[in-house]
Amino acid sequence: MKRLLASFGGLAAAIAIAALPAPQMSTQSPSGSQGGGVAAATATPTLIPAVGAPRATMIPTPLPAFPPAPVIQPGSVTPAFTREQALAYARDPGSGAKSISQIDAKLTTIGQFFRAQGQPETVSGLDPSTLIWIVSISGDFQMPIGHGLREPWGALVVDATTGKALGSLGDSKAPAWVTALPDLGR
Amino acid sequence: MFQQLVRAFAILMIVAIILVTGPSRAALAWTPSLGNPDCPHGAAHISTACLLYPSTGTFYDIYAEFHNNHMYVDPSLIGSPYYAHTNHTLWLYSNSPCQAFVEVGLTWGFQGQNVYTWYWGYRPLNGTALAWQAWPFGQNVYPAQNGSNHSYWVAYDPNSQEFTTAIGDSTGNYRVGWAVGPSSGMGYGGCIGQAGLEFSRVTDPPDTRFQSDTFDLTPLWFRNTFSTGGAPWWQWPNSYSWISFPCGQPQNYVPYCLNGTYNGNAYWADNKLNQ
Repeated sequence: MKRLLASFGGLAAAIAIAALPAPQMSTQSPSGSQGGGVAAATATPTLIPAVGAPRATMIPTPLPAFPPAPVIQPGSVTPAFTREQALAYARDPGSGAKSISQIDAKLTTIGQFFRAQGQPETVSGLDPSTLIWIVSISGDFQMPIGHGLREPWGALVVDATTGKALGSLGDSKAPAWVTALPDLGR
Repeated sequence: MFQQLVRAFAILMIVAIILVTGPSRAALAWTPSLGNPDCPHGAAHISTACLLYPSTGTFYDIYAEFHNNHMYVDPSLIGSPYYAHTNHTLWLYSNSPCQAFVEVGLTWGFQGQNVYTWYWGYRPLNGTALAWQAWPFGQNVYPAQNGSNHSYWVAYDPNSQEFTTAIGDSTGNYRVGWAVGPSSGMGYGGCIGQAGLEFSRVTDPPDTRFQSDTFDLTPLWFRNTFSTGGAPWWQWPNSYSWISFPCGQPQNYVPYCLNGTYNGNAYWADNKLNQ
């Protein structure tokens, strides 16, 4: 009976949808390429004013405030999620590492991680004193953005307390700011 | 009244035929396309959109709203070796050539994890790309698949030369990430905007381990001038509509199709991993 209802519902929806006007398709000719971005079209579109206004204000909320992070000496911390566990996590191809010629892990904080990139320590909204592993991988690394962007170098960023992946980096080689980060891990 | 009875009878007959023959056998033979090269990010009907802006132009903001609808990737596909995921994303290309990008959206399967989460990321032309989970409404608070509406925004500020990504709700917008501008290879403003649903795996017949509702992207706006006082918003000038495996072709009920979609003749196919 469920199947009957599902089929009936789907069919009714299909009939209703079929009554809708056909979707508008662009008259501009394809101009891009797949996988690596697209070239901009040259035809000037007719601008249509937006009706209404954005539902939310377009002023981002201020960055969160956190107490100053304590100074941590390099090589002084053994986090709950250990270096060995971080390396094992990153070795799993499911984490993005397709092939590995070199791998190493470095313990730092979220604050240092973003500050080294020229961004505010609190830009992620997470406590900048949060310990993270940056597991650098040379070889073939796939990121979850950019249609599955693949780079010869990548890094998996893992919360050193919970063991959850927070994000990743990708580049042609390890950026100098990653290399320069001190390793806080023991 | 008579016409309604005839129509109801016809529908019941068609349903009976489908039940007897099976939905897969009732399907038409077809081959997924390679997607639309103008909008390689892909998407489903209504949720699909693509902004093509003159190569001589620049825009500073792209904005969309969509609901936290259902998406799902089976855990067996998220980890090794598939690394599968699906996402619904607002996307801005930048620089020249127009290949640097910033994106922000919802995803399932981020970085090999079996979670439904917000994320953002960017990639400069020459520099280090970043992908990051986003928690705009509190630390480690994952979004719920409850149909709640949220706004998504990617903006470029020519004064600070920074891109900002934000996710908002009725209480306001929450900045989730910054990407520094031209000094790091990101460019001056946007050249192409995209939005829509993306699957890293499309198969024929549809893989029940991948599911997604339609994401109703409305409105889709952009600004091509910058003003701290607020420049006018414009609707995206054009869009495409595709759907791979729309309901009714070849399967007509969820989870064997992307539901609530237009049963069209143009299809989006996997542009991502070629699995």
